[in-house]
Amino acid sequence: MFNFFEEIKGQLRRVDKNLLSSYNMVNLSGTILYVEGHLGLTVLSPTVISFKIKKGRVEVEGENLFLSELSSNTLKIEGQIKRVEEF
Amino acid sequence: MKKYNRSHFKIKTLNKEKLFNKICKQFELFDIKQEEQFTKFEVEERQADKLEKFLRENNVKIEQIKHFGLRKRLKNFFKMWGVIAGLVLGLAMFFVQQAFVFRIDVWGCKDIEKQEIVNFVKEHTPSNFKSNINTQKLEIELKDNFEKISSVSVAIVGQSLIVNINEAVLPEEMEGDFQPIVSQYDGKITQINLVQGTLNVKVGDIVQKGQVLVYPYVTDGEGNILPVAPKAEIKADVWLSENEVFYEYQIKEEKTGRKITCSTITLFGLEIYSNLSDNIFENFESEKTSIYLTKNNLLPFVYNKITFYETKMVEITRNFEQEKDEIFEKLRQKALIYVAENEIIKGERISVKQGGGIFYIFLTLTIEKDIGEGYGYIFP
Repeated sequence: MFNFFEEIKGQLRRVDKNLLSSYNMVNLSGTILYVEGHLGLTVLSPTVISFKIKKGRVEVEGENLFLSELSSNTLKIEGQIKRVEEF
Repeated sequence: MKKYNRSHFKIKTLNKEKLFNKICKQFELFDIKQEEQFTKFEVEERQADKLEKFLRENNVKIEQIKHFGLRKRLKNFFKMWGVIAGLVLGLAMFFVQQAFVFRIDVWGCKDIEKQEIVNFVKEHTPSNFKSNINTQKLEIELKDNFEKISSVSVAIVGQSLIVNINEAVLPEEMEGDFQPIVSQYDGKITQINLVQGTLNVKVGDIVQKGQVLVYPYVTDGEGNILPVAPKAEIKADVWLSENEVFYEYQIKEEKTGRKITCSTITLFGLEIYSNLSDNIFENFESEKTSIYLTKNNLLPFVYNKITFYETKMVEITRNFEQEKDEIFEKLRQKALIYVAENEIIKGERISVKQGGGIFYIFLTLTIEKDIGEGYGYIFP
C-alpha cells in the first residue's frame, strides 16, 4: 500500500532515517492537521490543542478546533488552524 | 466508518486530556469537542457499551449517551420482552382466528327477516370452526326451509359467512291485502280505463275526494267474489279554486314605527330588576315575552319584556277596475301551484260579486287529472 510519509522518507539520502521516526504531521490548507506518532494530549480546548511527541510538545492554535479523530497513535484536528509550533 | 453507526457521549470531567489519552489506547474516538463544561465525543456504536463501562470505572460523570444506528435499535428491540411477547401472541391469535367464522352477513333480504336467516344458520352450523361448516348443505337447508327463497348461495369470506339470497317474486294477484282505488280529488269523471277490479263509478259522475272508484274484487261467472288488486286509469275534470275579497274603502290600523320597551327580571316571582317606562301612546299594540335566563331550575331567573308599538288608523281607498288584472293574476298563480307539469288546463272561469264597495273574486281552473292513480294494492 502506498504510504505518503514512507515515500517521502525514502527519497532522503543525507538525513539519518532513524531521526525521522519521531512523528509525522501534515497540514491541509489550515483546516485539517493530521498527526501520526503523538504520545498523548496535553491541552484540549476550542482555541488550543497540544500534544506530546517524542522530543517535546506540539501546540496548535486556532478557532473552533476539535479533534475529529483520536487513536493511540494518530489524531486529526479540524478547524481554523492559525499556528502550529513545536517546543 | 459511517457516522450514523456511532454513539454520542457527553461527559463532565476535570482532567479530560488525561482521560482521552487513556481512552484512546483502547478505543478510537471521533469529533471530540470541548464545550464550556462538557466534552462531547463519538465512538463506534459497537464499542459504546464497553466504553460506558470504562468511563464509569474511572468515575467519569456521563451526562448523556445517544445511540445511532440500526444495530443498536435492533438490540434494544430484542430487549423489549413485552413487545415481543405481544407481537408473538398477536400473530398467534391472528392465525388462530383465521380458522373461525365470527360473523354472519345476509344479503338480498327484502321480505324475509335477516335475523330469521341468521338464527337458522346458527342453529344449523355445528360450530364456528370453518372446516365444520358445510356451505353446500346449508344452501340446500335454507332453500328447503324458506319458501320465499328462490336461490341462495353461502360462502365463507374471511371471518364472515355470507348468505346471499334471491327472493322469489310472487304475482301480486297471489298474495297481499287489496284496497280499493279511491279518488284523490273532487271532480267530474271524463274517462275510465279499467284493467281489473269492479268499477263503482261511470263517466260523467261527479266524485268527491275519498270516494271509492274501483273495488278490489271481481265476480266470476258463478257469482263468486275473487279478490284482486284493482288497476285502472280514471281521468276526471278537477276544479282548482281560489278566491279573494277586495275592499274599495278600508280603515286599517298601522304601526307608526315608534315603540317603548319595558323589561323586568324576576326570581321566584320576585322582581329583582326593572326598567319600566310610561306608555305615552294613545293608540298602541303590546307584545309580551318571557324567557328563562338560565337553563337549570336552581335559579330560575325570568326575563320579561313588554313592547308597546304606537299605532294609527289609516284610511285606504282603492279602485277595483284599476287593480283587477293584478288580482286575477295573483289568484291564477295561487291555483297553478296545484297543477303538475304534464297536466292540461282545460278552462278558466273568473266570477266577481259586488256589494257595498266589497268585491268577492272567485277563480276556477279546470284541469284533466288522473284521480285514481296507482294500484289499490298494499304490498305485504
